[in-house]
Amino acid sequence: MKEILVNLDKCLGCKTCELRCAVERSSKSKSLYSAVRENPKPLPRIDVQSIKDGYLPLQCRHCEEAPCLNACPTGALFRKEDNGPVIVDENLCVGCWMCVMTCPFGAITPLLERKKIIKCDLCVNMERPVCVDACPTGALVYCDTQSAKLILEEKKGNFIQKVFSDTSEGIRRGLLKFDYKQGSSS
Amino acid sequence: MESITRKSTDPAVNYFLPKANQKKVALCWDRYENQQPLCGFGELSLCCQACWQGPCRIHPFNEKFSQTICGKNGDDLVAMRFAQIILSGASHDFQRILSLSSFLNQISSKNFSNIDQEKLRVFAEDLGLETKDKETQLLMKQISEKIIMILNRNGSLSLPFKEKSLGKEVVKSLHTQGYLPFAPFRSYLDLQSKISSQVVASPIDIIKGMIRVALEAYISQWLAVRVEELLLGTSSPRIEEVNIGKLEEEKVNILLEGFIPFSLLKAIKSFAENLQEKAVQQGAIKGVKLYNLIPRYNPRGIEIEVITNYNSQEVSFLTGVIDLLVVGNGCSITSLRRLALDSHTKLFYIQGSVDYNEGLAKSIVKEAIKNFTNRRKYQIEIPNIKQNALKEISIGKASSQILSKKIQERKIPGIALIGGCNSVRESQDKKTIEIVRSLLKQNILCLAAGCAAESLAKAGLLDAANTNICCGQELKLTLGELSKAENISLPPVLHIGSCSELVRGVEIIKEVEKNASSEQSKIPVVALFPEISQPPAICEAIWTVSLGIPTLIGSPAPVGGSELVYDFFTQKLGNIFGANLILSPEGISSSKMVSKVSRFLKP
Repeated sequence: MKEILVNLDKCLGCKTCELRCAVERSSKSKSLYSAVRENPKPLPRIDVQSIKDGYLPLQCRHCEEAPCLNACPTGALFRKEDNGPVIVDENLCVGCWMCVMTCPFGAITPLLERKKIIKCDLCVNMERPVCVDACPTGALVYCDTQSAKLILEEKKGNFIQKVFSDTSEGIRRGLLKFDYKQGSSS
Repeated sequence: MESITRKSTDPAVNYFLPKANQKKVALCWDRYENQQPLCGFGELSLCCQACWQGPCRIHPFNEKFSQTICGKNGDDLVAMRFAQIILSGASHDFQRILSLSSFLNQISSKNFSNIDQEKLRVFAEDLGLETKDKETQLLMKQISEKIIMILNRNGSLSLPFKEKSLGKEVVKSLHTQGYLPFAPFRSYLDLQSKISSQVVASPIDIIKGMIRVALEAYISQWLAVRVEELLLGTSSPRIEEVNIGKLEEEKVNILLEGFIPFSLLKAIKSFAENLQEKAVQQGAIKGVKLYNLIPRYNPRGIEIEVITNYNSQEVSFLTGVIDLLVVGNGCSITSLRRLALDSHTKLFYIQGSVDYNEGLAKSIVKEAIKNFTNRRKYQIEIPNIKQNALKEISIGKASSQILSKKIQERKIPGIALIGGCNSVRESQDKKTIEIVRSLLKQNILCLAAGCAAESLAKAGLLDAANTNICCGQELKLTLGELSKAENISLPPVLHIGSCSELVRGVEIIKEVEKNASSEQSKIPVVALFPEISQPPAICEAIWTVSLGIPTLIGSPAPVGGSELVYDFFTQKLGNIFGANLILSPEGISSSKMVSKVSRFLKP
């Protein structure tokens, strides 16, 4: 399965992904200039939030054990295939907002006037998600689990290097002091 | 560099594009590609950096972000950004008239044997001065004082002057709507402080101020053109070559760009002529030659040839034969600075406050001659791409009578005033040429100025040899009659001057209107800016529409973020000035523009 990974160091919080997502996935005209005038306003399925020292683009993580899938009483939320993205069938959605409540990320937006929900579907019918294409800094990466592993390896490598090159011993001491059995720092 | 044919229709640019790629020289098209994707908020003009609290932006799709920190909405921001452009465009015209007025003041004690007495008197009367039994010297002094008074608005102005400069009908409509200008500096400062502080002014107030400033720019240009004509004398049309191919290797080439006070310009020219021999000694067999890089400011009468237009200025540097570039405030592209560092070319920046200065002019020419020896022979490359063009045409009384007769008989549907620059968002020159070609076939008389005229010149539309090929039957006959009246064979498109002389086009239209019979006093006119990107040209587009001329802008205009501003220009402006400004955030295609023009010019 392919997923959107986020490189937090690269995200500048420009919200370009939000604009392009709203225009490409929600507007009638598919053009930024005309989409601005549409009513109801096209909504993005990705939301760039401000966090402590940076920004975090948030969209549906398509969880392996998705709580929304279990919560949906009508079966409007479903996966086409195992490991596939979680998609919503608008005809079945009744607007009970169960999924909205259970989603741990707040990634599902209720559309009050239409009594439906909208959420990221990884642009299933397209080659790549629009937000990934739109990102000017390359903070959003679309990759399969294999490449995700590689990224994880790289991250681990970076972390180890950081720990052992840190002369102030701050991180290192903190790590060594950590009591893995007790689960807390001694 | 993926799609070379689409970047420009200029053969010289297409010649140099692959070479620039080989040499790894980045041109504006490469930088445009590197800028992708463009910021969506910026494209819609929904961002603001007017104070240090922000930066703020407005999310078009999210209610939570619908106001800036100080509480502005999208309409405010779009109006502010538009006003900013108009301010920076108008400042070029203000700088020019200010420099001219101080020059007039300086020389008013000298003798004026070479000034055309009749013109002087007509101009003085247009300004509302008494001319009876006055000496030239006194009159000149009074003119300079009057101009300074107009700029600062410390006294009342006569109605004849207002009507002469703006036109009778326009003064009436502006007066009733409260848009009447005539206080350039006050209007400028008022708008500048309005948009740089968090005032409560509504977006419509800002647009009103903006239209005023644009009209002040028109008045300044009108005055400046008249004063320059007075000091330099009338020029006659001349045939010159355009495009990069006309640069010569055996000459010391000095390029001028932007606003250079015309007294300094004149001094540079006379020194360039005097120092020919010195250049020959240095090895430049053919002497020194002055060129204008792009036609931003090129007063008539000084007669400096123009090389190319906005988007291809960098390309002219790749020839390797430019020894000195003298830049004032204008439209020169910033990357010339880096291109000059990479080649032997030297840059000389003219401060706006400089006036006539003999030493400076001499040192400029000497510097260029000295720099000739630094040329890098292996970099020199001049493709043989050039085109003949007839430039700086003026229309006399007889011709304007012919024109008004032809228009009243409906032989000619109307006049199109063509201005503008280039925009890297579209293929260079393509839109301008396409539109004008199709207008000529429909027998519409085209007057062109500035970079747009240069686009047409490069395509051969200012060459009298193409008149029979490009024009419709009636236009061919009309141009034939005009040629007889002016005693010169006219090209399909009439060139009226550089970008800062567009006001001459309005003068021609006024002249033709004067000759028309009373029942049809308003002749059909449109103003077209097919490719536009630079503030001075955008400012011109605003004043043409404020003068009651329907105006079309072809390039994408960043007004998409506000329905209010967009609707004001495209619909409500018609109720105020009798003409709308047709623009679109996505740009208007050439076929659409042509169909809109024919709708405007239909009886």
